[in-house]
Amino acid sequence: MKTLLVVDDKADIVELVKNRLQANNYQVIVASDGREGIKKAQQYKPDLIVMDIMMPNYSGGEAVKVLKSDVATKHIPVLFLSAAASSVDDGEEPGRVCVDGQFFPAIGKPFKPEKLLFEIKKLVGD
Amino acid sequence: MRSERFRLLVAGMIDYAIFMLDPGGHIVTWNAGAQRLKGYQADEIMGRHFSCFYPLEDLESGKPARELEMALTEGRSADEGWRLRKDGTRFWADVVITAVRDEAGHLRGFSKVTRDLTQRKQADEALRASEERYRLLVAGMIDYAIFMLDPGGHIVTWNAGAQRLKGYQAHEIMGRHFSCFYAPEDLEGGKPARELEMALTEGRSADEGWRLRKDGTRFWADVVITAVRDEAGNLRGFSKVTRDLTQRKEAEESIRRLNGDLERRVRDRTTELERVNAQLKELGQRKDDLVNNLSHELRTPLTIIRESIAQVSDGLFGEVPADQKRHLDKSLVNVDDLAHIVNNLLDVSKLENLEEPLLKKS
Repeated sequence: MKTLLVVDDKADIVELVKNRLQANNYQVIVASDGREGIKKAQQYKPDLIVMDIMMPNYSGGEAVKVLKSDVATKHIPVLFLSAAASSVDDGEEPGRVCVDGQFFPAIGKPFKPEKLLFEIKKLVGD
Repeated sequence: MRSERFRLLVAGMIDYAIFMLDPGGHIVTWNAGAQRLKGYQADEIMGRHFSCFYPLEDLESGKPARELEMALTEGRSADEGWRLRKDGTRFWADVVITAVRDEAGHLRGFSKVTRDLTQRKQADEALRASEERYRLLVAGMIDYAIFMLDPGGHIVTWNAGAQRLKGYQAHEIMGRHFSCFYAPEDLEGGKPARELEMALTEGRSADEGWRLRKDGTRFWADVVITAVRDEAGNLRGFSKVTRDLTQRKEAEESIRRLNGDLERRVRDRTTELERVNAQLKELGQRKDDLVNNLSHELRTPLTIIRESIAQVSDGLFGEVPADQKRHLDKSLVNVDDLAHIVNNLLDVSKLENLEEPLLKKS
């Protein structure tokens, strides 16, 4: 079973995403801001991080910067899930967000669950 | 024998007319030079009075007699003047008449040596005419002040242009030192002496600068001073040619002023534009921030609404009756429409570089 880390400062969203992922046979760890997200990623080495962008105590971008510069976590794929204007996806393809010159896939909020699950599957495999 | 050789020598000379007069002034010898110069054969002229060589005006003034008289009293009489040939044409003659006396001091007659200086005379006159033409030309030029300085820098000639340009009459300025045309600051800096020095060493000194008129007003002058030397290389003085370039200078100043003015206005305008640009940039940033926040504020609750409904509709919490599911799905479609409207309203872009906002926050 794949382990996913969901990082978002909105408790309702964390609960909904966790619920949705568990219903699709993923093990889910949660964090409520960037700093906690970094800590949990380093602690649990999840198979994927679903990352919000606009959060207090390290935004999603800042947290990804830290994780990508750490050899223990730099290999973990990141999927942004954000309501920020910069991460709107359109149609079939995910949006893209650039951090430190590197692009990461991004799903805009509100999201369609099948699209979220499809992108996660692409990143972690079955 | 010696006397015979001497006679032959004189007889053969063709560049000088050399002959003897008796004490009364009658011709008693004649040589080849005399024949060539004056046109008479010996037999035509022997015994005639030497006054036949003089033009009428000299005869009337008694010149021949006067010359003999002077040779008698002074021993020698020298003259330059017009003389006549046999055919009546004139030539310019250098004439020396010497009284000839025997050992006892008695007058035996006069020797007369005449040279034809017509060519030299013509050359002198041509030179004088050329100098006169040149003098008149320079004198008449009114656009250029052209005058000569002596080796010490004192003014020795003055033309109409100089008078017009500098305001001095010739009699007011002749003999004065040319430094009187220079402004006090140039005098203190020793400029006049420096310019003569440069003309001396370089042959020529050129300068543009302010000069003074007699009334104390200034004009912008183009000045060339040239050292004038004779054929032996001795310094004879300096020529000085001055042109008034005040109008050109004023035009240049005017252009410079206009340029400066233009540059200042461009600078002012640029500053203003930069200020407005900075304002616009700030407004743009505030707009971006506002859009970002609005987007976040509107889309976050939409996400919760949509996913809550979706999870119920998808049966995550148990079977949902078909008619209820139909309402839930209708809600989902409308939430999606609403999200779409929000996206369009905010005109947000799909792809945006997160670098800058990230750096700003940290």
